[in-house]
Amino acid sequence: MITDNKMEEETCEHNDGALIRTEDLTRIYTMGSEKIYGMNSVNFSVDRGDFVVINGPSGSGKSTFLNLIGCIDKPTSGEVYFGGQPISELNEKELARLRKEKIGLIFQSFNLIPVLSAYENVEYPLLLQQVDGGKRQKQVNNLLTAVGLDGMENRRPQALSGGQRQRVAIARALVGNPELVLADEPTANLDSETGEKVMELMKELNEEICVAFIVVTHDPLVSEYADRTVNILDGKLEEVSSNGQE
Amino acid sequence: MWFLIPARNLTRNVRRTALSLAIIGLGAALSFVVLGFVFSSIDIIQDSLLKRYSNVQIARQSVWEEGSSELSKPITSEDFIRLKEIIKETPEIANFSSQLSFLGLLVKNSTSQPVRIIAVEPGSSVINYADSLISGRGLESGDRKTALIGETLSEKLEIATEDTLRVIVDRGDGESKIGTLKVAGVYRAQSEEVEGRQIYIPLPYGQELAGSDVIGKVAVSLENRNTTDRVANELEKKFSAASLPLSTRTWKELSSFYSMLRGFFTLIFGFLVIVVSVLVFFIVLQVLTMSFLERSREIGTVRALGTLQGEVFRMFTVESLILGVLGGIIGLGVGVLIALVFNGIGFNWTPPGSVEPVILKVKMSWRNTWPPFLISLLATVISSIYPAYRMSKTDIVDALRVEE
Repeated sequence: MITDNKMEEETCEHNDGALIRTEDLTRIYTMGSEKIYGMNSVNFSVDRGDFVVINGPSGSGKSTFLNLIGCIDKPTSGEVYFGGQPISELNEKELARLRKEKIGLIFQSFNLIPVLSAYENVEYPLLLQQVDGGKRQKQVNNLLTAVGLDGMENRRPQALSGGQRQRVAIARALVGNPELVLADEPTANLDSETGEKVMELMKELNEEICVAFIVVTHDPLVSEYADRTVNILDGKLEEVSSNGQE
Repeated sequence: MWFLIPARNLTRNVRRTALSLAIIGLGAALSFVVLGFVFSSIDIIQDSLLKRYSNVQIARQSVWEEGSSELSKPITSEDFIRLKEIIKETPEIANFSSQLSFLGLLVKNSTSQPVRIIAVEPGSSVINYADSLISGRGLESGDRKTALIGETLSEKLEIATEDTLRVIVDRGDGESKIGTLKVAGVYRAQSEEVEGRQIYIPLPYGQELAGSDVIGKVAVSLENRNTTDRVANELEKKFSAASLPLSTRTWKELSSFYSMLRGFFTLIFGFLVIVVSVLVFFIVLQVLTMSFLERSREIGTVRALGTLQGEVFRMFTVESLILGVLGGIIGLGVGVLIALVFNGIGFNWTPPGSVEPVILKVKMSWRNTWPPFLISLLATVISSIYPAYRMSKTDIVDALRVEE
């Protein structure tokens, strides 16, 4: 068991509509008089427990898309629905609450807090959620074990390898029992062997605890783990395969 | 959570923390030493003034008015008896002595100088001139036709100890009394105005010259100088309740020099506080701004994880609060060490109006502990507010883009 309640209470069979859905999602950046479409009228949805890989080259809009559905950026037009709730109706406080309770984030550069140990980095989202000490400790230890970091709890990020750091980041993303994990190029800073292990771990966790994963990458090998693969180019999404079927 | 990251940042960025603590501590130590020096100097001056004025003086209300004569408005014998009863009932009063002052003309050979003659009980411990004498001796019990004169007056009339002078007193009823005085000693005061115009003689001879056995004032010394204002107020209330036409003046009210000096010291310390605070403020502001900017990406991450803007702001202000508290404590520790060394060396200083030098010290008390602590703490916390606010408002996407 990785987290306290996910596995026991929910299964991937349980599906009450799209977990996340976008409607004409558009993000325009203005550079002087020039308008650049980071995201252009994207309609997209992800169900609970999906493992979606979004492929695309640099500058195609991958990170913009993650930022928008991760509620850390606002669209120029269109809407993101999280569990049916339009997020444009949420204020800053409600958005922060949604991020800490429903969304887990994995970054390309790991983005661990350098002054905190591996344990404390994983513990941080639970501190934000004000989870009790005992329960917190149990959840953090379970996650660290699940990602294979037993015995490395007290190491600070600088004392960990790239693969270990990304494992800490994965544990941190999952510890708060999110419904959706967004991973931005999780293997980009890892060698191929470590990248493969990280992807295997993410897939395992996806299957085990029924958390939806959206992974953006330009690494074609990552698509092997996907239930669905989507290509992104110039801010537009194009479904390529579903359940591994072209 | 709001304590974990700030505490970790401080303990794990040792060099930056040490630099900040050194700056804050230096400010606190400097303020502590200067304030201790100011308080010590003020104490020395207070001691000197208390010997001259006593803690509280009592006279008829009208005597305190400009140009009034104690001879025309003395404390009557009946009022003096009731006053002594009130003094007896006031446990804070250690001792008291009577005095009478009036105007006269001091004559030596063909030179004369109008003076205020203050007739005091010789040998009384309430008013003590011993440490202000530059030659001769003070007034002693049994003295009669003797006088203490100021240094300025002695130079002006070329008077030395043991010289004999004539004194002419206008009794106010058209009659004048001529007496003789032998100079027992020469004193130094805080101002030439006092030295040049004020002489002290024994009370019995003063009363004889004035042609009356009345007294003009009663000087009161207290067990504890800090109770001066309270005792003066209590005495005023008791006089009012007993319908006595008497009023009090504390030594602070009687010595304009003290208020001036205190104002001067306050100005110096105020200036120093502003300089230290501004220095600490800007240096800590610089250090914290750099430190906070270096953590842009970290801030972007914690905000993306769901930390509120207010929580980010609190993290930074808590960090500066810890720095301020630690810096203040370290500064006070360093300040105490400096004070111990300074006091150990023992520098001499002759306060204004005194003859004997005293050892100048850096006082170590709560009074000069909390202001430096508070100043360094406030300067540190205030300096963190703007960078903390800026960081808390940073756009998450922009912060995440910052390269480490």
